[in-house]
Amino acid sequence: MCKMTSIQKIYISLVLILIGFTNLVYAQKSSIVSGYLGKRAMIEYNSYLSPITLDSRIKGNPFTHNINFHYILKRRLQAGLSYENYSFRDEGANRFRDENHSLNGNSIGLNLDWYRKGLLAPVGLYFRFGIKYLFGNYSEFTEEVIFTFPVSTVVTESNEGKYNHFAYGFEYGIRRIFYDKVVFNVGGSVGDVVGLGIVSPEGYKTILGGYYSIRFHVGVGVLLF
Amino acid sequence: MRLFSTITLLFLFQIAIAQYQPLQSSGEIPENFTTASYEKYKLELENIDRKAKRRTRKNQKEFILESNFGIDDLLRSGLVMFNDPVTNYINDIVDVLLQDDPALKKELQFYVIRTPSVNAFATNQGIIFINMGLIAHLENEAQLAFILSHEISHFTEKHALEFFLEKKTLDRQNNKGLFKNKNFDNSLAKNNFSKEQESEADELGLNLFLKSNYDLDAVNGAFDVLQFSYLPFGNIPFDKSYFEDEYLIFKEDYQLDSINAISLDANDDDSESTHPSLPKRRIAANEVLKDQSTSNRQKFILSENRFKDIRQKSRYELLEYYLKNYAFYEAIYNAILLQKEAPNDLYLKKIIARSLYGLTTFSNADRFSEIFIDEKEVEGEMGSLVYFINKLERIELNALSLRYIYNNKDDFFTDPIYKDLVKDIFQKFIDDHGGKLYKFKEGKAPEIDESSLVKIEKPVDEASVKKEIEPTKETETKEKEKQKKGDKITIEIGDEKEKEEEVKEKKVINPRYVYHGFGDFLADKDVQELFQECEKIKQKKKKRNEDRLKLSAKDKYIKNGNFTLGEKKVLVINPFYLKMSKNFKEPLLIKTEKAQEKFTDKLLKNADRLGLELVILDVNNLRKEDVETFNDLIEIQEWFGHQMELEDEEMIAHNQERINAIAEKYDVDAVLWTGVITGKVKKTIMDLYVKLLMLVTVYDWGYNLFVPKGESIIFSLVLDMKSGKPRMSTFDPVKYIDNNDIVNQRIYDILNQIKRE
Repeated sequence: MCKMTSIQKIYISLVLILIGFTNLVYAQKSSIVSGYLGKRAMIEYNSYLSPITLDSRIKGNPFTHNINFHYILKRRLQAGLSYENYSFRDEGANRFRDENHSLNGNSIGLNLDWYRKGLLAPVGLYFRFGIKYLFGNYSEFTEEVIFTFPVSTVVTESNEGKYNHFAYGFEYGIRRIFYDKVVFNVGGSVGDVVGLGIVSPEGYKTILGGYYSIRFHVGVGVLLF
Repeated sequence: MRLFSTITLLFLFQIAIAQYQPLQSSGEIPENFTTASYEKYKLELENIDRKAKRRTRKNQKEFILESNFGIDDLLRSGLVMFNDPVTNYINDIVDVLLQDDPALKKELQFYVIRTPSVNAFATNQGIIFINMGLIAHLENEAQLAFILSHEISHFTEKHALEFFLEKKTLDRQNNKGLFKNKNFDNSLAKNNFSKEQESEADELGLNLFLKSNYDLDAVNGAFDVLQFSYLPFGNIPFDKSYFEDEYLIFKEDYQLDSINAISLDANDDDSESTHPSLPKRRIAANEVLKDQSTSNRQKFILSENRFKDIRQKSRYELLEYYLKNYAFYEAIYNAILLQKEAPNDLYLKKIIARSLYGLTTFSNADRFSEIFIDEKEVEGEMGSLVYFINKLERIELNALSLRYIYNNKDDFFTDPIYKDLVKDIFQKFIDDHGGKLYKFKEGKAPEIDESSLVKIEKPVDEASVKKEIEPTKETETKEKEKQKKGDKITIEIGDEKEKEEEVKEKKVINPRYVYHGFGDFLADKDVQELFQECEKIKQKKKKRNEDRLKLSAKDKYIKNGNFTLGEKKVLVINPFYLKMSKNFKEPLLIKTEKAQEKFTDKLLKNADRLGLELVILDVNNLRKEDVETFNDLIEIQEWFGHQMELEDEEMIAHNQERINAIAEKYDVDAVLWTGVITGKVKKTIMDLYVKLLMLVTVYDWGYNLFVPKGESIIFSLVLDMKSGKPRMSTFDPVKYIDNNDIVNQRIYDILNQIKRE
């Protein structure tokens, strides 16, 4: 995949946002959208967890933090803008090799939630498709003991850099509203990060790819307007 | 002096009836109507015998629950009145019967049900219902007193509860032991038990009756009334000339030659009945009566005039019932019966007009079979009327309705609704027969020499001649009795009904009398303009239907979410809530009642959010001073039921003028009926298994594991109060139980569509 400049990335992001929200104008002309008691916007905090982060090699906080702003476009359709922050550290050591990877980053994304037939957004079972743009820093450090006669040598290698990738995912969730204000949702998703390499991605890519392949989340939010 | 006062009373009576207004409840609403069923249930539970067996206590609890909720449904149905003249009269008679037992009188409440069936029944709670049809048939006050005594005995002996417990016992036996055979019908045992109770009520009722000074002949008189209860209250001949005039006449063969004789079913077999046969009841009663003194006994203790007034009111009131239930034949015949005493009564003419309008509507809509009565199944003179109506061709029925109203237009048109009625019938006429208008002629129908026409030949059929039964021991001992029901009917007992053979008719060539039916008003300018206007409307309807046919199925109907009614204020009637048990087997009565209370609050809160004004009329939520609301609710309920029954057909409701007045009173154009039906659904192993396989929805499976699976339907229907046409209709099944957020969201959505322009 070609490397994009920052300006190109921002441009693409803006275009995606614009496409998403032109639906808003279109939606106003079709069926009546009542939302929940007239409120069509909400903000949620979600905490994601992946099975990969439960591996003993992954240290630190296995949860990622996501803020999602939703707006109901049609009776059974809502769009969202998300921001996520994550940080992982993968430490593996044995007698002869010490390997550390660390990865931190952010993502911004767009998602569309379709609600099951018979339901009205934002209450009930929904199906989501989302795309994210991931960017951040990684560092890798390996220290290996190589046995030679008469003296062993220690070889160290370290690597640092920035990364950026696109990811997409499919999610199933249920959203409920309590006290006419508090939003609660729970769900699970499967996805993929583009450009990590098909065969044996290494280093931070392992973590990133593994993390986005299967995730579960719990979220709480509030209706806005 | 007596003759003078009688004549004066009759004269005043006629005036009073000529301005007849349908009966309404008045005063304060009794506690029975306003107390929540659940409260009554809790109160009655305290009376259960704690020492009784567990199963008996459980059955008693079930009985109390079902009976309280069932009775309250009836009380709030709109069929039951209170503080009306008929109910007050009944209470006065009970005062006479129970003057020595005021404690018992305090335990009882009496209400009248507006239905024509000849019946009365008592409940365990002390509420005794008398059907208006019974009062319409009675001949004197003493007969009513006897029937009331019978019903009071049912209450004092707790027959309703006893029967329920016995039924439970029999049903339980049916499902185990000797009677495990599911085909075994234990209804015989139930019927026998019921008959024992009826006999006991007869006996004890008679004892109570005998303590009063009422005439003893009333007992057999009451049995006579029950015997002929399936007949109208009178039996006068009907002639087609009733509907004819110099312009509109009908074929001779529209007049029935011979009616079906009124017969008495002599079969004494009451094995399949819940009541002993009438002959048996008479014998038992006469056994007691034979030793009683008949002196100083009266048919009327309160007042003969009052009885006749009440009976007459009941007969008039039932005309509304017939109209409401599309029993047009009965409405016309009973109106004709009442015209015997009040030939110029405008109200009766209006009933006939509306009945003819109803018959026309159903006929033109190809729905005549829904209201049809077969004259072969009608006994007595009413058969002639039924035969006449059935013989009418559609165009003749249309013409007859038009003509009848137009003939009376000077009287009718003071009421604006009748102008609408005329316009509607004209429209129906043009829609169906407009093309034949050119055949209609001015002037009177010519005189036709019927003898010159080919006549219908009826083959002499020996099988149709009454068979003579060879005298047997039974028939020898049984004498033919001629009984008189007042001065109205004559019946014979003893023989089987004769069988009728089909009669083959030959085609008759006759002129079409109907084409002279508008002979006098065809040249009328107003009529011509009306016809032209209706023709234009017909063309518009045709175009609209053609355009509609071109639409796809998707676009034919407005979908939920696309309604924009633009209303600022709307009337809401009887917000509905129903909670069902698992898999929707039966209603959960107490939970339903509690949910219903909260549902009204939800409606008001959501309407507030939208700035939509709601006027909620809820029969489950009335205070004792809300009698006006109660009466309004009855009218709207009946009107609403009419609109739902008719579906796509247009027909002005029997009480449309009162509905117009209600719309004006509350300043609304539309009425909303909305509700929720919800229930849990049993999760099956297959549900969980399938969800386990679907990994993508693994948390949906997890969710369902902890959250009950259910289904809910949230519906709404908005009708225009002037035309009765539906303006909005939504029906949303949701695969969840009635969670607060789901119900709130849907209600808001419904009200939003009503408010949005």
